[in-house]
Amino acid sequence: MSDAILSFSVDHSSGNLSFVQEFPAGGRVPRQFSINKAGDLLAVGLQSDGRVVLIDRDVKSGLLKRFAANALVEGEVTAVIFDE
Amino acid sequence: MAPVQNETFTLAEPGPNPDRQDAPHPHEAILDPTGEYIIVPDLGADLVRIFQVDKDGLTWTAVDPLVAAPGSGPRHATFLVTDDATYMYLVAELANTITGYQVEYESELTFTELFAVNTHGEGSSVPNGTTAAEIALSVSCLFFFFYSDCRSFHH
Repeated sequence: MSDAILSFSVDHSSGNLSFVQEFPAGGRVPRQFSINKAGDLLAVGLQSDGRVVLIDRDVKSGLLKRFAANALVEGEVTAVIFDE
Repeated sequence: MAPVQNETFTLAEPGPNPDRQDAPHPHEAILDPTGEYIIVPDLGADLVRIFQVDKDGLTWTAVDPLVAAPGSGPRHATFLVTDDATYMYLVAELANTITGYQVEYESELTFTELFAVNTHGEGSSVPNGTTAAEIALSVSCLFFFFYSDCRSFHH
């Protein structure tokens, strides 16, 4: 069972948002997420599953593509950050 | 490290969603892009509280808050700075909306609402039990999350 991530593209000339994609978050209660500097990875902290997932992202289109990796973390994950 | 200043928020009466809005629930504190203001979305009070950072850089003074839609439950916000303008996007957990504002800095910080969309995009419906949560901005895209079932989760 998975909750969802929704993404929108931003028009820089107007600030307007357009809905782009709904993608599974990889588990339950995606409490927080981070994007790496390159913009090609999204890390999601799943609070109810005690898990972190990494999702490959296409930088040009902004689309999330596939789950790249995941790791179990003891306890309720509330934050996930990249060390770059 | 030593605390310099703290403030306790109060609410005269519960908001339109009394289960979740029985008291102020400041959900995060972020800086605006200039670093001169502290922005605190308050889910219980339906306000985005705003504090101007004092010259010493350590203390703050409250200024007029941004009033959010009643019962919407503001949770997180993020800023976008372009060559021409500054925007703020506010995620409301109870209403499942993203509201876009143009931000202007004159004698005070002002917000002009540009649009509000539901978290699943224009014209779509939001599944029951959904609660919108995080928001983050990569260079050209905006991301946010929702939970499809919040019944067992309280924060």
